[in-house]
Amino acid sequence: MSSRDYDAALAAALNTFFIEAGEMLEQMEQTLLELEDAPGDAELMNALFRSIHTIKGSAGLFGLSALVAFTHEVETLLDHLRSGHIELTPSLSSLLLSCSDHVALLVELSRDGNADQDAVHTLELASAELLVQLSAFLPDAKGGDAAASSGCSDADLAGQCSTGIDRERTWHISLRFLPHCHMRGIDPLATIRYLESLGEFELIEVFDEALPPLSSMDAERCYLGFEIRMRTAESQQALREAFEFIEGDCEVRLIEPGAASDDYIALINDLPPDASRLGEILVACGALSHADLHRSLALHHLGAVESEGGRALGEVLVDERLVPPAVVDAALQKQVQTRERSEGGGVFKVEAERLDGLINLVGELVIFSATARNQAADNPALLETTQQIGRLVEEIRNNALSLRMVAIGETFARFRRVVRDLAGSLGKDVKLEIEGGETELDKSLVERIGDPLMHLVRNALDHGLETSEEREAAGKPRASRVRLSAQHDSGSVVITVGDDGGGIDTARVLEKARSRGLVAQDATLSTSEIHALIFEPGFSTAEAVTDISGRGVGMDVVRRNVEKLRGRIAIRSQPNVGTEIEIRLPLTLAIIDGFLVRSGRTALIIPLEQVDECIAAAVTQERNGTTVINQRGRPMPVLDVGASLGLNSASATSARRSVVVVRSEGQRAGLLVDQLLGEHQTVIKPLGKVFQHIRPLSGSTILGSGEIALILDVNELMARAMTEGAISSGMAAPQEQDVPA
Amino acid sequence: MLKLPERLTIESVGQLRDTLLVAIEQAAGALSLDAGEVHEIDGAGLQLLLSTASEATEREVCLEIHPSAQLADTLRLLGLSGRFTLCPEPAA
Repeated sequence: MSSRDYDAALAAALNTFFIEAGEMLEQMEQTLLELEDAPGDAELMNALFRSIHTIKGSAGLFGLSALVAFTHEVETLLDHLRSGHIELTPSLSSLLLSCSDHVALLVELSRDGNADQDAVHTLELASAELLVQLSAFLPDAKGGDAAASSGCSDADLAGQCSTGIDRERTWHISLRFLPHCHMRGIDPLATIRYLESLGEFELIEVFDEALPPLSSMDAERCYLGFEIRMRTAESQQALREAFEFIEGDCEVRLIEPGAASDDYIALINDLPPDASRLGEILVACGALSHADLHRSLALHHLGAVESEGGRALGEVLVDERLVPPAVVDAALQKQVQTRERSEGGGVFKVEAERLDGLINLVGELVIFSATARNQAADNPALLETTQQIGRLVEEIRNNALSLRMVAIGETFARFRRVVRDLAGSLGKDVKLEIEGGETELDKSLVERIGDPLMHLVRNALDHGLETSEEREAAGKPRASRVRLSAQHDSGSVVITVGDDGGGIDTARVLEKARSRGLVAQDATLSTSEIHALIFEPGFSTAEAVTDISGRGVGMDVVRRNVEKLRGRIAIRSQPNVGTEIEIRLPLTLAIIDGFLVRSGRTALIIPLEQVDECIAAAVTQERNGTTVINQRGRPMPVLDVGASLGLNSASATSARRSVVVVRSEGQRAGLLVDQLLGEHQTVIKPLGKVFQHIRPLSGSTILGSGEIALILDVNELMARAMTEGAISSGMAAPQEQDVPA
Repeated sequence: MLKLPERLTIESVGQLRDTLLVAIEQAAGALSLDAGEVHEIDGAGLQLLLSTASEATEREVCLEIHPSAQLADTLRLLGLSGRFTLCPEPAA
């Protein structure tokens, strides 16, 4: 292996660590927040401990010493917390959240290979600062001791506490590194050095029996094994977690303190090539008696003979009445479990790009299977076959799409921290309720809905909720609630951000809208029409611009972002009861429900959720340079799509044309087309590089006939028409005003 | 005396193995390795040293190593100091 290969392997292993550390930190943050609602929950306490412990363990394997040193102290404190020596007070909880943030910075620093010394130094100072704060929470706070060496504080723990924490005990650890481990960036010595930091080695033996002499060795293959007896106060779980990262690169066997000789015999039997030397060592250190050893070696021999006759070693052990059946069962089951875990049971990660590639291919398959079906029209037998294929392909597509589905819960959970911190800085008492976190939607949607949701949640806290005093005066409970919920509803996902605040002040909204010229002075609007005004560009109700939600980014941006995801946003509000904002999103962006039309010879797809209605083209008129039609007594601007896109219109002007009424950002307009072809569900293909600069298009697809159809970006089309003056904003009035109440 | 690189790790072991093999083959009864500048050693480096020692024994070559403090520490941690003929650490 060249050094470049090795670097690549190490980088890959490190990258896995960085991803896992991120997940662990997120888990830590969530657990801390959950603990605020369920103080003292043992499960959560353990989860909290585990998250930081896992980071420490893996960091140790990569020799990230700054990270190990810091996480070790956090871990020590969490251990006290877990065993009930100290209580999780709100101030400790806040400090631990800061520690979690700090660990994220330390991880980030180790990721950035060439960070400058200033940054390193700043972080060191921050670490020291946090450690001092942490040490104040330790039982018998000894101040400066927090930074003492790791072995010492472990020993302290065992010495000080009589309950809850394991005393130092002697474990037997057997490690056999697999041949490929060096190539995968795993260094056996790093594991040994890390183990040594957890306790004291009573004995260590290197097993290099498999190592050939220099002339025939492969220097990059790993031949190493270790037998270690160590004294430590760590729990079995803690020790197991130390090996979590090298699972799959090393056979790990852990024998508990005080284990029966059977466990050691099993160890010997598990490692035939090392059996005799292993036996000697175990006898020498007193783990096994001579008699036991001889019995096991004889049995081992017997087992080897018998197993040729098809008998498993476990059976032999039971038949010889040496081991109770239950013990063998347990041992065998454990082996099976370990094997399943390392052989692909459970969950494994796939890069999003690979999934996208798969879905793209399946999309093409769908298209060509439709083409085949069309071509088979004259051949009944072939037609039937292609229909079967079509069904299967459809199923594959649905399966492939479901692989990209993720629960929105993780995104929601991130808001716990946001709400906690924001409520604190606003001096409001807010409780976040989360419902339907298990609701699944496409990964890319989940990623892109985070920002709009963040804005809505911030808005709810800042503008929606009253202060505790105001609430009390209004006869409401002092503590306010913000609710995040998600659910599936007829092929789409509905996400709601609700609060039990004061509701929207319609009088103020109307006044503001009038002063900004968004509404005519004499216009009378219904309540829902007034509510809809807050989504208008340039509308902001905050009287004082706060640093929380008044960043000049208004609700219009939220709406635009939701519409970019082909979603819709709606608002409901009642004075003194609260406000609820509902976002309706498609399940995936990979498929579009479209309305197929034809302009000239070109097939176009209009996203169905933006289509309001279709009407026969009426007589058009010119008004201030804008083409309009008369729709229910009101002028509505119309655009000739073919002309806007610069397509050659081959249609005779005399042909009966149609108008598709579409909606974008609250504006309505008619699109003049030649032919309506009906609804069409299709897989979106990204546009080729050549076409990417053609803005009013968002993608393309291939029809069953093999013809290419272009997917229209209605928002972009209308925005362009507006700037070019083909539609004036005054003309394309908000839809609410068009629809009779 | 054959000088070992500063980093006795997976990146260097492939080439180093060939060098060591040639050195042992040409050694007239004795070979000494200068490991005074080794400040990093991993599993691959360790097993290369172990393998060199057994090759030397097989060829009846007397192998001695002049270790750096880091190498001596690592061997002590692993209980391997007795497997090599270590010469006193050079003055730091």
